[in-house]
Amino acid sequence: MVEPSVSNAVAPNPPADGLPALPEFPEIFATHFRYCWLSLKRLGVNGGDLEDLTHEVFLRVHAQLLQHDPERPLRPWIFNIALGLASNYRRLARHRLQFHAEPPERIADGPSADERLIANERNAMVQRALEQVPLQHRAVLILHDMDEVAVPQIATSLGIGTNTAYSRLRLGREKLQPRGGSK
Amino acid sequence: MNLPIDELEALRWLKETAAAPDPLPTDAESRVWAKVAGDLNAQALGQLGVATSLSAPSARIASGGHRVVLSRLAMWSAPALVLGVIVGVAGHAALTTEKVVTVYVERPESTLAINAPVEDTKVAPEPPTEPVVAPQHGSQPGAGQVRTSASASSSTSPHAEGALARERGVLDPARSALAAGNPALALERVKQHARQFPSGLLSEEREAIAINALVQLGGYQQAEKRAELFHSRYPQSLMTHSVDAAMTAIPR
Repeated sequence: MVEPSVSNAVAPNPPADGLPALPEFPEIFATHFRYCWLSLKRLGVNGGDLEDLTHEVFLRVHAQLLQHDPERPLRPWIFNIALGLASNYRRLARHRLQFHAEPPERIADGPSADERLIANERNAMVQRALEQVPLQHRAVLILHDMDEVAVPQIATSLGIGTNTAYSRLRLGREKLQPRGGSK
Repeated sequence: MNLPIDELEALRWLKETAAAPDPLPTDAESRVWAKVAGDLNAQALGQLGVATSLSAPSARIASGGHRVVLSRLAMWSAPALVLGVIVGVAGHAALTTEKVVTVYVERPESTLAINAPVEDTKVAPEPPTEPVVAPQHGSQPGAGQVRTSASASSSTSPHAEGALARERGVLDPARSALAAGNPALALERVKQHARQFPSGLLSEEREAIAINALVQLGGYQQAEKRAELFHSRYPQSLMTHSVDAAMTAIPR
């Protein structure tokens, strides 16, 4: 992604003694809001619920900041919090049997209508493909192939073994690609 | 329509999507921040010793190849918020002699104008005679600071800024050590912090780290006593969850 590098995001102002310091919470929010929102969406949270879930993620980030090792990147750690919430959300949502239509969104100014149309189509296609991938595999796939986090770092952040992370990545990639036929 | 069957092509699509994701609703960030800050304030305003109000998240701009985070200050702030800050500051000042009040100011939803950096207001020992809100300054966006607290304030004395930085220099390694599974080192750093900053700005965080470290080291009785003290001193602390989690880890 075009976001600033993780290391920059974590320690924009290293203290004089060279030890990394966590940024303040408002800064964390501003830096990672967009990433958190998009991650939740890729993890299968419906558009109408993204605000609530993002809100919840940042409350947890604030509450658990003490447990975060400032020497480790914030982004995968935030992703893991989002993953836990998305997982619970999907469990509950499954019982609701409710179809969530995407709410009309007011979109900020940006590329032309044509460009946006093409990008929207591609993104929707990727989103549909991601939804075919089981959540735990999808988490590794997103972190590695979209967020460009190294597998060992993913393993640490998600609390899984490195081999497990590699396995989930491989399975995720396999399941990402539909074997023929159109939707 | 499906993703390309070829794996490399599919990965390219993923990366393209990551590089150019769907745009977010225009004011989503402001709305979510308002909710988050509101919830945090609701917790913090009742907390003796620390008065916290809303604080604006930082705005990001690109500058010199680096992303610079600017603090935003709202043009308006809710009167209730100001009242809450006053109450909190008064309660705080009655108990302690020096502490930092993080003033979180809600950002207006409809404007992108950057008015001023968010300020931290250092609480004087006496109750303030004026509402404690982040004052507006005529700062230009390019003059914003990366850090929104402690380093950003013109109303925070350089002495306090330096003190906070020094405290962080001691406590951050403690937090790292705890997260890395080295409670002995964490405790050592905590003690160092207590020696150097007995009434430090980060005493609350220090206690939470100490309690966690003690539990991991098996000093259950001491941890319980400190936890009890922690709860009485900081009844609505945002670190209560962390302390409680440590307590539940004690074998009964």
